[in-house]
Amino acid sequence: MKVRIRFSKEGNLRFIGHLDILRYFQKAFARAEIPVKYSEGFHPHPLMSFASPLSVGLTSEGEYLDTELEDSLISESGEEILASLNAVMADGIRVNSIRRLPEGQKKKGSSAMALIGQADYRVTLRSTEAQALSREIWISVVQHFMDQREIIVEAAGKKQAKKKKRDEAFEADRINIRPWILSLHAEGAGVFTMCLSAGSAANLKPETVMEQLIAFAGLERFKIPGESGERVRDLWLAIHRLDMRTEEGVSLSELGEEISI
Amino acid sequence: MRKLALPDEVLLKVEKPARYIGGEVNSIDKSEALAAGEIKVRYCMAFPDVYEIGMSHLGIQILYHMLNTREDIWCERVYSPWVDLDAVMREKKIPLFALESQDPVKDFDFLGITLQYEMCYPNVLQLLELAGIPLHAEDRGENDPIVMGGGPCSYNPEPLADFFDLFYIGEGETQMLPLMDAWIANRETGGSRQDFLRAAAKLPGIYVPSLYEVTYQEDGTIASFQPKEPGIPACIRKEIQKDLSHTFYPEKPVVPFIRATQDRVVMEIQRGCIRGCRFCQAGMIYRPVRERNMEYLLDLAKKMLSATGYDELSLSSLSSSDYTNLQPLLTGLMEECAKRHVNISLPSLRIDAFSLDVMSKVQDIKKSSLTFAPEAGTQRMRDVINKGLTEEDILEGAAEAFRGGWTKVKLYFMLGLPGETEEDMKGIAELSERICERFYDEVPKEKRNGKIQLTASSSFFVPKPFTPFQWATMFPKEEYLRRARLVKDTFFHQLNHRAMHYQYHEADVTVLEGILARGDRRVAPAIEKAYRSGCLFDAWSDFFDNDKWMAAFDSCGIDPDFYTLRERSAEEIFPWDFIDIGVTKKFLRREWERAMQGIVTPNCKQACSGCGAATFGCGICTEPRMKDSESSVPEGEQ
Repeated sequence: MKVRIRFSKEGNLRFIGHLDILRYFQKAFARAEIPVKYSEGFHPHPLMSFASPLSVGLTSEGEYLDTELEDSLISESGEEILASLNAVMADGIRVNSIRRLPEGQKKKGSSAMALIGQADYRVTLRSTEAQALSREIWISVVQHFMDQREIIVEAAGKKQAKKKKRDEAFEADRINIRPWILSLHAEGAGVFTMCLSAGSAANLKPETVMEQLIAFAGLERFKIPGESGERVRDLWLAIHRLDMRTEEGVSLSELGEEISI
Repeated sequence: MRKLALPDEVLLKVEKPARYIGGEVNSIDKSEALAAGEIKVRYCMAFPDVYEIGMSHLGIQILYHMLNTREDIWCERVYSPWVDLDAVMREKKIPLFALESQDPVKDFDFLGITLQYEMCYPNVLQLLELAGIPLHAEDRGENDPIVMGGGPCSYNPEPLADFFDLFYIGEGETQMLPLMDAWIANRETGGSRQDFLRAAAKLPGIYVPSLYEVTYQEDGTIASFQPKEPGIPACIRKEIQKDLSHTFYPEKPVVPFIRATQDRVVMEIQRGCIRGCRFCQAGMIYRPVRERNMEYLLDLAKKMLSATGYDELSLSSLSSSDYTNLQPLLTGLMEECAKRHVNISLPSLRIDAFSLDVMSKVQDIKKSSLTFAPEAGTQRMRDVINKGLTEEDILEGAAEAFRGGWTKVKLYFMLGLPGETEEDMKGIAELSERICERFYDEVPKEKRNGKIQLTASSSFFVPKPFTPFQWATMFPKEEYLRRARLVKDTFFHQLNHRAMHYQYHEADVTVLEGILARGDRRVAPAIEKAYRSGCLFDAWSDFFDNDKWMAAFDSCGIDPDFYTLRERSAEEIFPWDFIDIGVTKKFLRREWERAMQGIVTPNCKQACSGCGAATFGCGICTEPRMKDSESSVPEGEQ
């Protein structure tokens, strides 16, 4: 039985990397005594794949993993499976939905990873000054930002980066990211929600959008977080993934069917 | 969400933040009991190396879960902050914290540090300093934690005596809880730190270094070692868990988020070893060998696999092949593990038909390599070290393996053993050559599954306390390297040298390990000096800096040769002689003399050689032995 599980990864678990989460789930299924199907061959590994890796430091309530369970589980409902998984979870990680996927479909593009077209995020500016700014001001900034026909970023892809190392003759690609910002809202207190293009075709990171927004508004001083004043990676932002959707905007949790006895 | 001691900007800057956040599956959070005032003892268990190494250590898992069975004790863990975090903690003045509560270690009642190898000694000082605990026991006050040490290196605790309030000598299962009770009782009656240490010193297995005085002779050797006051025992007997089938074992080991060095369930099937190799400290200090009952182990394996979800089970012991019921145990385990997609790993197995059969079932022959530990290149030398392994055994085992399809062989040797001759050194290459030749004899051309690949590695022998070789002299660094080069050169002249690869360990680490292993109290200032000059994580070759160490000895007026090159007499009082491991010094001396004559001593299953461990009245000492080897036991010594 092919299933898709939606889970959240919050709190201190934000410091656990993607590959460790994969290993974590392999063990969690074993602890919950939910038999996962294994690949064939001399080194069988559990059949399990994730929709999209979440960077260290980010939290999420909309992560997905696809796996294949032994058919012996047919006598259990989705709720029972979730309950037994949640009983063995570490603090900070919960499974909150399970759906059965159509059988036998080996066709390309049915895995969670291939289906992703969009992702929703909630982003918080950590700067206390930014949080003090009124919602009305942010709404107007966002409106003007979104009214632009083009938002150009200089993207240094892998190829270019290599080239740069080689001969210093480096030319940045100029990309218009505006079409990939499907929605952006100011929620107040420095909080924004957004829906961005995601997946293999076009993948836009929320920190890129925020960089542009802050630069557009001339508020780059907000790139320093309130408490410590230290610039580490994207520490000026708290990024939380809300969900992942298909190209058409359907939540991955809505595909497939419920598992009932 | 549990609070974290480190802010986000630090955690996102350091390598592997998961080392510092705790919250692992099966870790124990008693913060509610603590807030409710129900915790009487806060114990922090430390491994003075990086998280991934420390989390692989079974002993801490045993004691962690044992202490936590008590509702009034909360035992937590801490490991050495890696060099990146070490720098940040010093700069930002972040005190060392325990993983579970993330509270400063300085606020704990105990800091227990396990001492698994000498090269971690500077890391012990790092833990103390980062915690904000005075390095010297004499400088600690009423509010500082009691700093205690344990583990194999505490069988010669003297080089670290200045830094510890007390040492626990022996196996932790027996006296840890009584020690905790003594501490609770002392506090409830308003006793001081010193009152507790005095009370602790009277418990079995507990050594409080500040209560003892050492005097030295003119030649630098020890003249006397005595308690400073009446009522403190002159001799401390190691603690031992006599029955290993009715004792504490962690059924729910902590499962790290990141991959630990031992990323698997570890099940100790027996403790101790029957073999009596004369270089091996573990083989002496853990005597007598005690097996865990097979039914107990089968049940334990199920519980641990269910509680952790690991996909590998490793059987731990010094010599698995000597476990009486190995065959039925493995059959039972394989059945259980197959159901769960769990692999079994079997370190320390003797290579014979049975073990190869088992291994072919649990491992991929093409990928796995077979490991032999002949330890020495010639039969003469193997007799000197009492390695009960003949060349015939090795070649037959190899032949059996080749017939079974294995092509990769690993061989472990030691160089610099007492009485080693050039012939013994060359023997390493020559024995390897004969194994290669055996491959071509044994496997017909059409059945050869690729070429044979043989890797031989040698480490330099370091004499350890409580072994027959504790009287051995070591060599200067240059001499070790000369020997290794001689072996390498001999390899080059073998017919099959292209199929063989030889590597040897660092020689300067060997010399340093030798100083620390048989050191005394006078070595402590040099350890401190080395730490102050930047020595840390010396077990990691990237960080080891021999020059700093040698400068430290020099500036402290310590002559390393005194500890390594000096000839020790039969009468010399060793710094560790006040510890009684059951095995007598008389027996060790006899073994040393037999070694010098190349006489083999039978193993404990063949016959009792009267080592003294029978005084514990448990394990193999209480079982009947084979009679056939009795003749080889020295007369009148049984």
